[in-house]
Amino acid sequence: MIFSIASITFFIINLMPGDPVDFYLAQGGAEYFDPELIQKLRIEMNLDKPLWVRYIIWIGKVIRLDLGYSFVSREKVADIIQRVIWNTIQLVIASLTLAIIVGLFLGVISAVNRYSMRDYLSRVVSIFGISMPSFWLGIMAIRILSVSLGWFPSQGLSTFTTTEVSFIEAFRDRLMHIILPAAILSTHPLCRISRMTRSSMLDVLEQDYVTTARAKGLKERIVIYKHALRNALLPVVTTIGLEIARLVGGAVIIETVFAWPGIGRCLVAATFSRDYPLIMGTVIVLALVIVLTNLITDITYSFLDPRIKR
Amino acid sequence: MVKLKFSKKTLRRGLQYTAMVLFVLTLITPQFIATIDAQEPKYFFKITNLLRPPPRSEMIDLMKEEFAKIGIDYDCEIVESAVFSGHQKQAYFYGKTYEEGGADMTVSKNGWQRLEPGVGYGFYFYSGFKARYMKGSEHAVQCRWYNPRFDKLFETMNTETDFEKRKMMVSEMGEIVEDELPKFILWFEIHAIPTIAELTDFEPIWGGLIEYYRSLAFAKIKGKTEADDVTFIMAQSSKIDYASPFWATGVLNSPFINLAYDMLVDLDQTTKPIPALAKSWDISEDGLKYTFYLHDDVYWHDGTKFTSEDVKWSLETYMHPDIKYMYANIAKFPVKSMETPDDYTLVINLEKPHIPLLARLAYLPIQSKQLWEGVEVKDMMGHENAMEPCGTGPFKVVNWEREEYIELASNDNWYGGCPFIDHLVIKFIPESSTALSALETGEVHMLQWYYTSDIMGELDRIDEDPRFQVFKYPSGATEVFTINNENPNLDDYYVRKAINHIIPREHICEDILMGYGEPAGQLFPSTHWAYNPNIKPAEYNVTLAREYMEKAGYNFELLEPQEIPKSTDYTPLLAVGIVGFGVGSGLTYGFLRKRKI
Repeated sequence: MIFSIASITFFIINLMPGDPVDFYLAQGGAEYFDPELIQKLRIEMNLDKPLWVRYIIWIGKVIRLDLGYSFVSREKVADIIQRVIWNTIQLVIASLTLAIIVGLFLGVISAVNRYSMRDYLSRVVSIFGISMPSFWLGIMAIRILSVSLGWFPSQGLSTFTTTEVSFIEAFRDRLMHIILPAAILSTHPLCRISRMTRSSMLDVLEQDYVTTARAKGLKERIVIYKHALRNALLPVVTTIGLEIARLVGGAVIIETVFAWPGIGRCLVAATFSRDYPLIMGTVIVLALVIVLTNLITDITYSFLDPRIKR
Repeated sequence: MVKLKFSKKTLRRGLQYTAMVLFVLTLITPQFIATIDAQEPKYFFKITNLLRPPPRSEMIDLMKEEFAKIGIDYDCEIVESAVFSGHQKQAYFYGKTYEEGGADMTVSKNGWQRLEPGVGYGFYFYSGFKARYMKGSEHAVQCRWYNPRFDKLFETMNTETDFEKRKMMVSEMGEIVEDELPKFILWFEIHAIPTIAELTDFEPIWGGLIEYYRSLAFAKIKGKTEADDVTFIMAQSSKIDYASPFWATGVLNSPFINLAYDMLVDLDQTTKPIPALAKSWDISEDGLKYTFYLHDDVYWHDGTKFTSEDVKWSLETYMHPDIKYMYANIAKFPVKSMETPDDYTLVINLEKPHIPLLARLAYLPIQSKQLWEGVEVKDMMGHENAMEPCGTGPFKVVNWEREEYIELASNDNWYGGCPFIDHLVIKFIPESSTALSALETGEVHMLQWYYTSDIMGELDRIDEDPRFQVFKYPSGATEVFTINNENPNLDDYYVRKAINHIIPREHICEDILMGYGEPAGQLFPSTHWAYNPNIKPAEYNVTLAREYMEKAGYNFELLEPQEIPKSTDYTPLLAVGIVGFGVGSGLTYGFLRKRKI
């Protein structure tokens, strides 16, 4: 699976117009055009070889877990990815947590109070969240919440300081920095989870066992959260599994808007500079993350639904 | 787990269907592509523009209307930098037009900032007269324009030691360019550096794209004293990828290089060489021997002493064939030998006089020989030393978070005096609006010029805010239309003249660039020594432009208002030399007819 994704990406990227040497020239300016220099650079980057030769060389390296060196910074691709991926994981975990908690909560409220004012409000919010492009939301959030109100820092990972800070201070600072990007990144999954929870809860609430539970005289809260929600979760977990993949994709935009030094921003920069090894490395890692998430989702099923275990 | 089972029959049928589909596809695809090609309207020329700065695309849209007045219809393609450069390469090396994979016209910047006019003219106009007879030869010629007189002047100018004579030569070259128009010079860019109001004594060098920030070494902050620990944060749109100038590929890394390293000589506003690491120098009568006397109190950031050996080694390394990047191209001078009679004297012997030498040296950061001792040139790239920059500049690198920021601390030992700013941080913020927000929230204290074109609309508001100030500087770049003179439509003297008069420079500078541009008719601005006062920006004049078009052999007729025919309708007419165009809402239709000669 990962192998085929990587191969397809390799060809797409190599067939894109413009190559790394062109990018160098664009950076350096027209005055640096020199045929000899161009040829030297092409040889150094193996670009003088035909595509299929490059493919074989590259795939041979990938099998040996060697992602090569970045064309731009000359560092090992694995090192660069290692440096940035932790930031992305933080961001994705933060937004996923937010999305699951708030999404489930909104969905349940919506389903329980069907056709009430709360239901309509939560649905309007969901539709709004799904329809708005995240970069616009991001810019708006920065303008309003950080520039006008000054509640949150507008960008970056942490506040620069020359003095020593305690661990708690550093943690608090990181938390303040992560809130905005995580909240914006979580909008789409949050809304989808809330909509899915609502529809799935509505189905479940009409089932006989819910009526039985109510008839037993159980408290409404226990009926909803223990009997109904647990059974309604199965399709929601599928959605969450899919949403993780989307979150990783969405991180590309959010990380650029919020200057968050993660794998998404790294991918954007690498694409513009035609840094082939870095693009390929990032894509392979992202594909790996997505495949793993799907696996984890499947395993989670068995915990939620004992029937699947058999 | 479900096992998929296929019978042989199903498999065979599946294969048959696939083969059929493939067969049909092979049959129809060429036709399909041909149909698309045929529907593509033909234009007088195609403009290739870079994806990034918005004012350029607005300008091109606006000019469409103007160009229609002389019957020229063009199309514009907006591409990202790697593709843009690919088009340029095809045009410069092989003269390919847009249709052939090259370019007809590109919107670009010609940076003259640190270039001796001779070098600058060479880069941008040098036609390489010989190249004319070697078509297809790998010789980059930006405009594909050939003028033997210009080439001759250029070649003699680089060896002419008499300043007055050189000045006359530059003037003459400027006039040739003004007359023949191998490219259209549009405007001088004005860059904006928004910063906090407390910053004082900050005087960016007139015309430095990358040297602006070096002035931070002398800058002060109102309300702070020497005893205070001053931190100053600057936003930069791309991250720094390499710390060593040996393989810096772009200008965006350079602000940092100019803060951490020193050059042998520096240039002032008029590109006159002034002392830097060399406190003075002598040039022999024949222009073949340069003797530099160096400062004897300069230390590297690691504490070791700077000597003439470092300079010699740095220059030799830049000229080494294994160094292939940006600075390698600057270090191209006819050096015969280099000598170091003592620790603070350097002698450069040239094979022939090379006047741009000083200007070129002002571009090359000097590096520590001791640091690189024992490392082969070919192994330098990616070497750990390269990731721990060590220069002699006003600021030294103390912490480099590759993805976030680079932290520089003031260098107490700097020969120019210890800077007032104690910690200078360059933060990497790719998105312009985010960078502006960060300035407003106080997270950063200065935005680099690179954001100017994206935030032009906001700059007045920022300037009026008492918390901020905006430094505006004529940049070291002149905006131009580089044209490929091998495009048959543009290879006409009168057509080029007509186009030059139909470009509304004033209007563009005032309305689209919001004052961040100044109409230009030559490469060098009025403060530059090579400025020629006789050359004025071409005036906007439709009548004159039409006259030129007629001189070029185009018979201009405006027909009664009528429907614009579909693009395919007039495509075949092109074969006999007729170009159609549409004006305004599509009511008028005129055409140009090439007169039969």
